[in-house]
Amino acid sequence: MGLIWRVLATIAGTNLIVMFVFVSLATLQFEAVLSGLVKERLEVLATRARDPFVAVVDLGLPVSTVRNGRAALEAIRQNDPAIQDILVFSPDGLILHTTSQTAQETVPWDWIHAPREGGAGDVFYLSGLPQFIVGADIRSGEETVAGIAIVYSKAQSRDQVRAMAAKLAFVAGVIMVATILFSMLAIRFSLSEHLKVFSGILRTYDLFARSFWRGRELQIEKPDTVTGLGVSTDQFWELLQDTEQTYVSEREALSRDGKDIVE
Amino acid sequence: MNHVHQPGRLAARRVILWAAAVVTLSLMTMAFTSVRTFEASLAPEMEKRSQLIGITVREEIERAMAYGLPLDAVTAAPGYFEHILDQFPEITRLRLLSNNGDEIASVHRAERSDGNGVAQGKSEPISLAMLHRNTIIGELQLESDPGFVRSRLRNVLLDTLVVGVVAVLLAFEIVALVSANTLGKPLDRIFTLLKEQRNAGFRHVVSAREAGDLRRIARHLSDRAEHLFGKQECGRKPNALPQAYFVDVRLAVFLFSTATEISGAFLPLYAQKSGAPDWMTTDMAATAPLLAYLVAMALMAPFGGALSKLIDPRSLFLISIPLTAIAMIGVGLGKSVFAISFWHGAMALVYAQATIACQDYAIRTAPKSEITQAIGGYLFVIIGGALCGAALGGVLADRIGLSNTFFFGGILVILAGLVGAKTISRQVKVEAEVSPSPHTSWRDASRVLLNRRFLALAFGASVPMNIGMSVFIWYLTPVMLDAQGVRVADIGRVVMLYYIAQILVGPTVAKLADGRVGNVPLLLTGLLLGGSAVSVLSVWPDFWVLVFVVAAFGVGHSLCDATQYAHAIVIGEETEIEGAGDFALAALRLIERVAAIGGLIGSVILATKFGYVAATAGVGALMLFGLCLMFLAGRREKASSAAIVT
Repeated sequence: MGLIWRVLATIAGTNLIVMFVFVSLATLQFEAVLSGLVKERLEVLATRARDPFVAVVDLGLPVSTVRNGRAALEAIRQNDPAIQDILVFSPDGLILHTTSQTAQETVPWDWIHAPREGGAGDVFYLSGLPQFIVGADIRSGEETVAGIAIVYSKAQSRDQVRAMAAKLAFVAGVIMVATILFSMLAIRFSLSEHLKVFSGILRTYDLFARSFWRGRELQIEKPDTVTGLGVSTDQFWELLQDTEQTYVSEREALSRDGKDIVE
Repeated sequence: MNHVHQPGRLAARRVILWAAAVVTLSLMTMAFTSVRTFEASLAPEMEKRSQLIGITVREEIERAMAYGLPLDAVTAAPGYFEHILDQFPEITRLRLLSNNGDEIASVHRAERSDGNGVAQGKSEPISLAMLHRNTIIGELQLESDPGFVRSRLRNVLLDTLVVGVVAVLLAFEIVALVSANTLGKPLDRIFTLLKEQRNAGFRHVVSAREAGDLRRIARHLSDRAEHLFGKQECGRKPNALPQAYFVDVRLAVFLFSTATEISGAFLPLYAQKSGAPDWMTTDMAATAPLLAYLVAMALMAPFGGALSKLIDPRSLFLISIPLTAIAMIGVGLGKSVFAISFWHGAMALVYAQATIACQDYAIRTAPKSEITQAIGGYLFVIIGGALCGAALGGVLADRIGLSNTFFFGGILVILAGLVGAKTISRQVKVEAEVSPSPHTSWRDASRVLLNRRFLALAFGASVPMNIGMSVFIWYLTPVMLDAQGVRVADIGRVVMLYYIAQILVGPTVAKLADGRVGNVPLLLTGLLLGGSAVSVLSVWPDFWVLVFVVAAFGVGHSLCDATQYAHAIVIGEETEIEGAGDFALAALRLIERVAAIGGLIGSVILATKFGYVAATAGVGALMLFGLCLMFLAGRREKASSAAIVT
């Protein structure tokens, strides 16, 4: 029985590691897909939000002169309650328009210097923060005259990722239980021959040991034959008897040679 | 010591199969569930996207109308709508309807840009009313593709399944080791000890820990040995029974192979980016480390076998561990294509030595009648490790960077060394037939090398198949797929098919080769399959044909891979020259590696002058020529075939 438990523990342990790796990886991939989708949506929002400012810049006026700038940004912000803030900032980082009542006057340095992506190379994206930051440059010809950025809460997507991890972990748990039960039957079935041989060998050995302890006078019948895995208990029984005889004769030979001091 | 009978191996095999089945089944269920859960969880985000797209389009149209354009006049809309379709791949249909339901403009996607048709089944269209001065003047309808999320998840799922394959193979190796330790080895050890003692050999003991459930018997038998040996040798303790099994080396080789192949997916890219001198084309830079690797392997081929006779496989494997780790760190730190090629070549030198040592271990621990299975089992582990290395390296490189992936490989090499130090036996059986004389004379060597069957095997099977592997799999498949615009990740997956085919078919082939079928029919079938598959590709160079051909070539190569080595040993031994088996094996290794290098260089020239299809045709023709050669000259003469059965 110890045999089955050890093999079962190995299979279950291996499967547990595999399930753990799968759940971790699938959760990470889900997060990547979800972030990708959110990022693409925010890119569209950011390019929509900059349209009024681009129109002003095209007329040759500075972005800071847009009087209803905050209202224009607010209209976009109402698209999604997870949007925390939308800001327009100058190339040196000074905040020109914002939807929040923040006392902050400048945007972080990395917003300005983040690598630009997208078809026109004017969109940027910052990850690794508590929020998604997606922004776009406002350009006049080739020159960047301002930037717009959307600060989007990660709370909802974090919850979604956690929920996904929990769901997958639950399914993995159910699968683990099912496979342990299945493995138990499968191992029993696949090792039946082995178990039979092992117990046959142990039974044979017990009989041999009994004859050994009770002395040679007691004649013990040869145990039932069990064969499997290329071995047979008959062969084992004979080997036990033969080796015992060899052992005894070798021991006696040694005693005659005077090497056996203890006996 | 001789332990031809290893009755426990059967049980271990059965357990391994069930373990692999359990892990595969679990992974498949998880994959299915995760796709379903992903789709459900992403649905709200997809709806938000569709809404946003609708609102954006509506705003644009309403703005146009605010300038005084009537809705009917938005006839230029289709151009604009097509632009929207390009921008948002999930939208399949956009319709602009008037108040009485007449269609003003409509556009729909027939096929997606990635070549996949729009998924069957329709989602509920999103409908947005168009307003102009507080009056509803029309309706905008959007239909999105329900298969869009699935198309995003396809890559995710394929990557996850790649990791799944890695996990199954790793699980396989762990279970192999544990089940052998629990089931196979105790039984074998007890029987070996009994047979020794029957012949009055009381020199060895088996510790209770190593005997599993048979520990009582082990104690009894060991007690006899301790008693007699102690008296014969004045109180000295008998040694532990030296027993070596192929399974001892499996996990260590698997980890070692995984570590050394960790750059499999991106080495050409890494070399290209590292900076090459002006005279070197990017193709030359990309293939330079590969060539250095092949040259180093070829250099090692004649000496590998000899070295592994001087030093025991365990020591040789362990010596190569720190050297490999240093070479891997060297590749990771490499700043130029020369440094990378040098260190990669240096790694190949040590790698060749370590793997030859382990192959020797596999051959020496196997019963004589199962030599192909031993080599096949060894190749299974090496190829499995390579597959895992390439897959794991791809995933890691994305997350921790290319250089760091090599450092991770270095750590994995050391881990392989630690496992090896614990599991590989110090003493392995040396059979008289396998052990070579230290010097094979030139006359003897020429008798082996000029043997008709050996020549047919080398130039009919080994050379074409190795050129097929190095040229078709390593070079032509990636560049042909790249030319068709296939992404790097997908190229990696197609190449993986070759290895997977080998892993799946290899063990059965080895059994057939050791059994009734024999080596030669399998070699002929492999050449026919590989040659005809590659030839088909040269007349029909389509993506799916290529995918099929890569898998078919994998099967073909696995029919020849272990078989050719076993056959070389057989041919060598049949010359009845001492050590000829090993000599034939070493000679075959050298010939096939030189051929791989020559084939690679030749095919680069051929492909540059005449194109990839011509190079493919050349490889296919070479294999079919090899088939003819092997068929005509590779078989045993009829007079002797009755006497010796392979």
